[in-house]
Amino acid sequence: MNFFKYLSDPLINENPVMVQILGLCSALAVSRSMEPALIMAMSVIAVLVFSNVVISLLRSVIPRSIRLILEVIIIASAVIVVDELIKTFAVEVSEYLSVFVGLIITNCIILGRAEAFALGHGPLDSFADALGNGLGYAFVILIVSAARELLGAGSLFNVNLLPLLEDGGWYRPNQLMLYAPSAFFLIGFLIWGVRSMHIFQVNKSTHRLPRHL
Amino acid sequence: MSSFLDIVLRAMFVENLALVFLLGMCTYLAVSRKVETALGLGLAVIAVQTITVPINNLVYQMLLAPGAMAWAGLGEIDLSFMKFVTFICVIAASVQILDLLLERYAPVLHRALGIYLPLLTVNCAILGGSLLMVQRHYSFVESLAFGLGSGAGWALAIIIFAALRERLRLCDAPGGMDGLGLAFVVTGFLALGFMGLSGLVS
Amino acid sequence: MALSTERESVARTLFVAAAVALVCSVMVTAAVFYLRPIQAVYANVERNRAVIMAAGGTSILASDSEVVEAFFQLEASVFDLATGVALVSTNAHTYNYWQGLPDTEPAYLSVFLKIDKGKLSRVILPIHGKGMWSTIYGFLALQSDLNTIASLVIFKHGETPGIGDKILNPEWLSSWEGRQVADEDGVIRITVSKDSTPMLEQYQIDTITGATVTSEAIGRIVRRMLGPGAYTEIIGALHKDWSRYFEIDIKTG
Repeated sequence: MNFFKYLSDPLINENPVMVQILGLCSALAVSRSMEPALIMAMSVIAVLVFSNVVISLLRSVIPRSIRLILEVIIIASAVIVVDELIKTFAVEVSEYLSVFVGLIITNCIILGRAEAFALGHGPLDSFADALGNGLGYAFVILIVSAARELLGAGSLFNVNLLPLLEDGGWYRPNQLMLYAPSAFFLIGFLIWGVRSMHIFQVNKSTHRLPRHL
Repeated sequence: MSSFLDIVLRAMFVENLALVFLLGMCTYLAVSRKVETALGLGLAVIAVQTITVPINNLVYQMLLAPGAMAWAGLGEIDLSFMKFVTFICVIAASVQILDLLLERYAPVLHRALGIYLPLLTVNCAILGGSLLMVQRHYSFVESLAFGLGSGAGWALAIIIFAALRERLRLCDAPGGMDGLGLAFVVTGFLALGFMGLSGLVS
Repeated sequence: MALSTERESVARTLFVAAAVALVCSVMVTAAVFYLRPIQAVYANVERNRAVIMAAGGTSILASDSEVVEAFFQLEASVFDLATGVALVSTNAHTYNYWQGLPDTEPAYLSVFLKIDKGKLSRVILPIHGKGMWSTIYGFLALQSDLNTIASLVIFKHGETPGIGDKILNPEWLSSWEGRQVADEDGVIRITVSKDSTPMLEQYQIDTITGATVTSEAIGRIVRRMLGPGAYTEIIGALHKDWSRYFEIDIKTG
């Protein structure tokens, strides 16, 4: 019962990127096309699940005084393994992702979930929470990268869908989508959409007048 | 010397960590409601970045890089995969030491910056700065310039953004857009503006 | 309460820290130990893929085994840059010519030849040098006259995504094809520059708008690699009689 709640909540209602404002850097920076975004999402899910479950298993053993540094070391070790795997089996993507795989260590989703959830829950619930948050992150990064690749290059996963002008088609790629600012605009509009659907999520502190009443 | 200045300006404006590499976004959005706090955080980032990037540069060149241990007769060893763990530990330790030193010798400054320092251990702009330094094979002096410039660039971005955000509080945005959504769109325009600086140093 | 004091004791803190560190280091070392050799193999295949592309033989989509097969059909020899002498006993197909870069300049480099029905068709030269930020690696192919550029392939670079990486633009890379390296007197003329001089058109490649520094760096790299201290001697020697340096390969192959 709780398992499915922990799994499904972070997908939209408690989405780590759009609602908890965690893990933004990589969501913005590696969303230019879908292939690296998918690999990035898979890496984050792998590291998140591993660290959440391990930290949950160790939660009664870890001394409070060195809690943070142990969590960071566990996360960093998982990231090294993932980084080596990507370097081995997806060389080109690893060059594109460059420093951003390493920066999974400082992806606030991972340390955030470890601190806020894994330290207080059992391994099974922590697994569900990690998977849910990972999928919530994947959901955002894949939507943003799909929009950027389709509008910026007329393709998805490097497969051309909109025939380009330079190849005799009709679509003129939007160059802006290849640059960083487009990611901000897209996530901004995505947040607008999601929050309009769930108006109650609008940040209480900035919500001065209940104008929808 | 000109190349020193070149790297500083480039890291600050052309390759701004916050607006071009999109690093440190969580703190950027969370601690930018007031110019005053943004200023404090910005100064803390400059200090930590200028300290940790050169230290990590030394650690990498002396211990981790392929063949770096030649001085100890261990030229064959390549520990570069350990850079993630090592850098994050160096950053955590530097932040901790800086915190203690400030508390002991500059209590006024500590009161202003103290609460932001622990945040910086897990700020990806700091770790990202060190990782970019490795990727670009900077020498020690170059890494000092890069640390200073990239820290200053990040501080500049968050201070401008905080000033914009103070004004935004007075505007009447549509319900779902109010707050975070608007903050993203404004950052988008700020990043667009910084793209115009890409021809600054060539 | 008793539990929590016990949990915080110094001995126990040290023990937990050591145990976690040990387990993590074993995990990381195992991953690196098993994956590094595989990475080296893949890295070699990718590098050889770039050689094949410079030779004009195949597309980027060729399978790994096709790449390996095509690569070993090329003739190869390792040359001493200082003297222009070929090191016949070194296997040039497997020699790691970029070893030690970017810290130490290599003293020996492999040169690859594409032979078509006993005739020299292309010479492929590994090139490297500093871009705006990073060391750029690539391959320059010359036609059989050893003066006309047949193709330029960028293998690896660490330039700014979205700015410096415009040097990968296929249109710009193909604008190198057919350009001349040196004039009749042997003076190296090839440049990447903003303005075009009508008389020297065959030696000029336009800079890339928005990636001026990096594209000009490629021009400098090509000039330096073809100049004295790099390939000048070797190109001269090959010009006289290329088959001499690749004799052994031709007999066995």
